[in-house]
Amino acid sequence: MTGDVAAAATGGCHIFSGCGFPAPGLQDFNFKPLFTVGSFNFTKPMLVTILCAIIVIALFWFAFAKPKVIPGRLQNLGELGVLAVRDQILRPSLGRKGDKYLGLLVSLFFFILLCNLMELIPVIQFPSMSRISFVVPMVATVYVLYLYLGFKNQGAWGYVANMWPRGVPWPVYIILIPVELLRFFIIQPFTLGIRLFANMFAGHLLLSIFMVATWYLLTLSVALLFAAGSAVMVLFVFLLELLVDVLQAFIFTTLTAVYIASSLEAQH
Amino acid sequence: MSTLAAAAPTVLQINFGAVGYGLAAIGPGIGIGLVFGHAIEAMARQPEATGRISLYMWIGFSLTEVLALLGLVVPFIFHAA
Amino acid sequence: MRTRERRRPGRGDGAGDQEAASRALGLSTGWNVFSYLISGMVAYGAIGWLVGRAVHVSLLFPIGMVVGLGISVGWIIYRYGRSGDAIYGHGDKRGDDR
Repeated sequence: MTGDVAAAATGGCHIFSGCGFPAPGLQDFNFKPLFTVGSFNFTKPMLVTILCAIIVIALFWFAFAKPKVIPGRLQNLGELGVLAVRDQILRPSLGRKGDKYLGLLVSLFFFILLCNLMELIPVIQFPSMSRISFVVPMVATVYVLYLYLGFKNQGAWGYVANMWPRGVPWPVYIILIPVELLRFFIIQPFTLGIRLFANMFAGHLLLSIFMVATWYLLTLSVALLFAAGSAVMVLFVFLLELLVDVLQAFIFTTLTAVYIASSLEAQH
Repeated sequence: MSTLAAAAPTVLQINFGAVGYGLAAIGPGIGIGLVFGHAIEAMARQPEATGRISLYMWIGFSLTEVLALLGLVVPFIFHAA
Repeated sequence: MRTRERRRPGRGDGAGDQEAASRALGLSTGWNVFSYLISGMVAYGAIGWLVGRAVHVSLLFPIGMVVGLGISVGWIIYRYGRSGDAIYGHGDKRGDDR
């Protein structure tokens, strides 16, 4: 816990004891550093993200280290994951020739999924994608990749001409150029990142508000009823967040596949 | 006593632009839900009409979303004028 | 748990594949429409703001945003309002992202 929530907790701040509700807010997304190297602060979200990356790498490594024709348990799970991503995300957009991007999509999907699920695991309880600095490198990677593929496969002018409006009279064409340029080069990657970030940010805030409210109302008075209501809301928001975590990982990966597919279009 | 004073609520400062956008998003929120809900129901009743239905679905969505986005524009109008 | 008998994923029938393809297309269409709305507003808002700074009429910024919203709605209706086949890839053979 951070900020005034922690301060209120150590003071035993419940309702009717004179202190106001320590509302979770932006300050709860800033963490005190675990240790400092020079001017670089190593904080809990960084630790959680590194942990997620190590877990994903280790799971798939040990699943496919010594693959057998009749798979063991871990290899079966790994195959389940890889084939699910391939058939639900990769094949619909890219088709068979996109199989070389399977590594990227599997890593993206499972990394984002695990980072998102960290929001719900006790003790950790922080989705690292709720800080924009964790989302930006992923979006930048995907953006540079599909721009590079587009320019390589269709030529610089061919790729940009891909999005020019067709079949419109030329005054409309001139009016639409700033919109199309802005949309293609700036707004599209921006929405890709903001969608993930905003969903995780809002979900974490929602979950912490109801959890803090349950604890704040937990006194031997009529507030106990409200605490029970708040606890029921925690359950609902927990289930909602479970859905949103998986959905956001799926959407990010699907849209990555779609953008890569539109870059590779000239290969038809 | 000092903890009481420190914990007293601060003077309420309302950012009307933000509140205005929040209120402006209620209607389009309901409207977009209706658009997609009816489109899904129609597609379920008649799957072969999916193409035509989704065409009108996107048109309806964009027109409804405009009203929510206008809620973002209006604070700037009153700030500028 | 030995799972030799369980049907392995990836051996699905073609109908599931088609549904997944239209889901991916629908997903990308939806976010394309939304991106057009936002970028129309931002692009013409920026143009309006720059022109407004030049002529010292600061009302041009929100006017530009509204005009941009109108332009992008018109473009969305034109582009996505052709026959349904155009969205699902048969009419316009370059698909949705062209």
